[in-house]
Amino acid sequence: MDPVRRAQAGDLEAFEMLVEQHAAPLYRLATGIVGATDAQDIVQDAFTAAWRQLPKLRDPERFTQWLRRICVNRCRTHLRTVQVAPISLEAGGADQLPGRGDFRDAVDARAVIGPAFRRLSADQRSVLALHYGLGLSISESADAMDVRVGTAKSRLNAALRAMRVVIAPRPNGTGLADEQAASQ
Amino acid sequence: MTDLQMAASDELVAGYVRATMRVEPPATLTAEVMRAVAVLPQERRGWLSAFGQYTPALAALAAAALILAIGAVISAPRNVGPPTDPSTDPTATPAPTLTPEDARILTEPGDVIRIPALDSEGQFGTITLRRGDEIAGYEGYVPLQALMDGEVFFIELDVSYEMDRATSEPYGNAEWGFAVDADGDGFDADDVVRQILGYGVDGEVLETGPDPLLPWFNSGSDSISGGLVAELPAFATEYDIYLVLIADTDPGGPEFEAEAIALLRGPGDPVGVTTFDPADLPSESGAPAPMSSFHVLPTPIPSPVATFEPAPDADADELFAETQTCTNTAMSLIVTFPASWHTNESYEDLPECSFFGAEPLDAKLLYNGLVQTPRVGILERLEWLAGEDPLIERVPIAGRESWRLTFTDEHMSSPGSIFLVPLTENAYGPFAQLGGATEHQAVVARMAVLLEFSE
Repeated sequence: MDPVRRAQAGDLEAFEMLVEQHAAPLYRLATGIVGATDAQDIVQDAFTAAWRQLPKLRDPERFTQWLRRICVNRCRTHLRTVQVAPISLEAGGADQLPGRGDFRDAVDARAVIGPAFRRLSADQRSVLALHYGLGLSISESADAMDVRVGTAKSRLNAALRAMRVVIAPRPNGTGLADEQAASQ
Repeated sequence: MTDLQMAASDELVAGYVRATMRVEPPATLTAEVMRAVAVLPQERRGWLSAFGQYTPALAALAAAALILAIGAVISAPRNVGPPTDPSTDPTATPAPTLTPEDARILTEPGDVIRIPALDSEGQFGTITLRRGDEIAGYEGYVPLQALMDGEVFFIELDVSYEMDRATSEPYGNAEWGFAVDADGDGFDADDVVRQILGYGVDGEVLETGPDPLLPWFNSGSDSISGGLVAELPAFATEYDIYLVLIADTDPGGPEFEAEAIALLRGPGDPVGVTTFDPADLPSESGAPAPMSSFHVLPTPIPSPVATFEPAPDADADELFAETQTCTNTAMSLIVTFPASWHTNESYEDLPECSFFGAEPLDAKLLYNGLVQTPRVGILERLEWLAGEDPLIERVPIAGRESWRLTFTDEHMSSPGSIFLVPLTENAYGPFAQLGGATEHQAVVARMAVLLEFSE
């Protein structure tokens, strides 16, 4: 019998196998959404919830997707306890974005993007983490968020748009980097 | 904004997300999870869920019965008026259900229902819901969802939690969602959209909306109250719309459960909608913005140094005792790296000879940001972009006046230096950006010194 079905029957050893198998991707997902500080608590909470609910999982073949969905929901609940400064739509100047770039390892870019990312809503962070971070398709990301594909697309577009608004310079010529410098 | 410019911004975001998620879980995670679950009982399947697994026909019958039940309730007299004593209110019957077996009516402004607030130990309080008005929009509030759906409208509710005892489980705004019965088969789990209510889709507080709003999330013994606002796509006005109290016992997914539902609105024209107009966005109206200061240039620009020598490092020197080279054709660069190291093949738009590490590298995983092994990379970067104030030096690399940016900020995932080597005569980009994990800084410096252009 596979580990999921054994764990559904209450087999702790089988569940431990599942934890070891899924801990890393789940931890990455939680880190992407809520940040490294709280990711461990989120993942532990998700696994605990999964253990309790596992007997009610109708389709054991979909354990991975189900677990991912639990994690996303826990992240969302967690973020709702945190006051997130909203992204203002009054930012401007989206015409002055960089032309193109590959910043996959750009250390300095993290300092600019990070604060903006942390101001996104839980739903927006989730879709970015699922789609870009885990490399899931839009359909898979929608599944993990328990929404329709169209909704996932909308959230992705909204997230990217919100980031463009924040990344872009203000009409007075100041940018996020300037704001950071001014606040220090 | 052009598609290309949009892609640039999006690429920044995607790269940031990938980089952030290059982490490994703590070694103790599995043990801590197992320690927690060892003392936790599993919850067993409810009757409808069990039917759903083994006998779809029975599940369909159950669903049909549910629809009839909802219809019966819908046809019942509405409970309009102020809150009533739960002990005498026919709609206040506790419903600790595993599936939505009950429905209530909140279709007219002023409609009130009371339902039990439940946790795993039973009722901890009473929730009173009062239907408010349907709202076309809020002044000054541009819901981002409207950018995608085109038109949205809102329904306001007042919600209060009166506590009988403390609870350790969350209660508040986060428990609520709505369902749009677009497929016309009555309420079911597929209709539920776990849309955040009350704070706007993107966490924006509706400044012109209800004040105060129902807190997102609470636990303990505090009675709470406030507004709850459903932001709904305009198309939903063609269908039945339900307010849903999402059961906290279910973490989500295929086993969706509603603790209680209420009919919020039947089909019919809305009182009005908020229509997205690009002119509503200040960023897309008016005169073009001035030149971006996002491209932060060093001030003052440091003078170039004549030579660049890596700091002494015996381990790195030993690694570079034997070297090999590869060519990054995208940037016409010949890269020299330790003979014992590996580099990547090309994948999609990731050129070969872009990443370097002590372990074999999988180009597909690298492209998707899924490789955890600390490594060194050389990637094309078109713009000068400095978010914080690193130590900036001008150093000669590959015969060109290049830049070394040194980050020491504790918030950086990989403190250390990156080298920006201009690929043209423009000192501010495009560049070949050479950088790497903190533990490979000595290697990065040596690779920088040995870097050459093939043309």
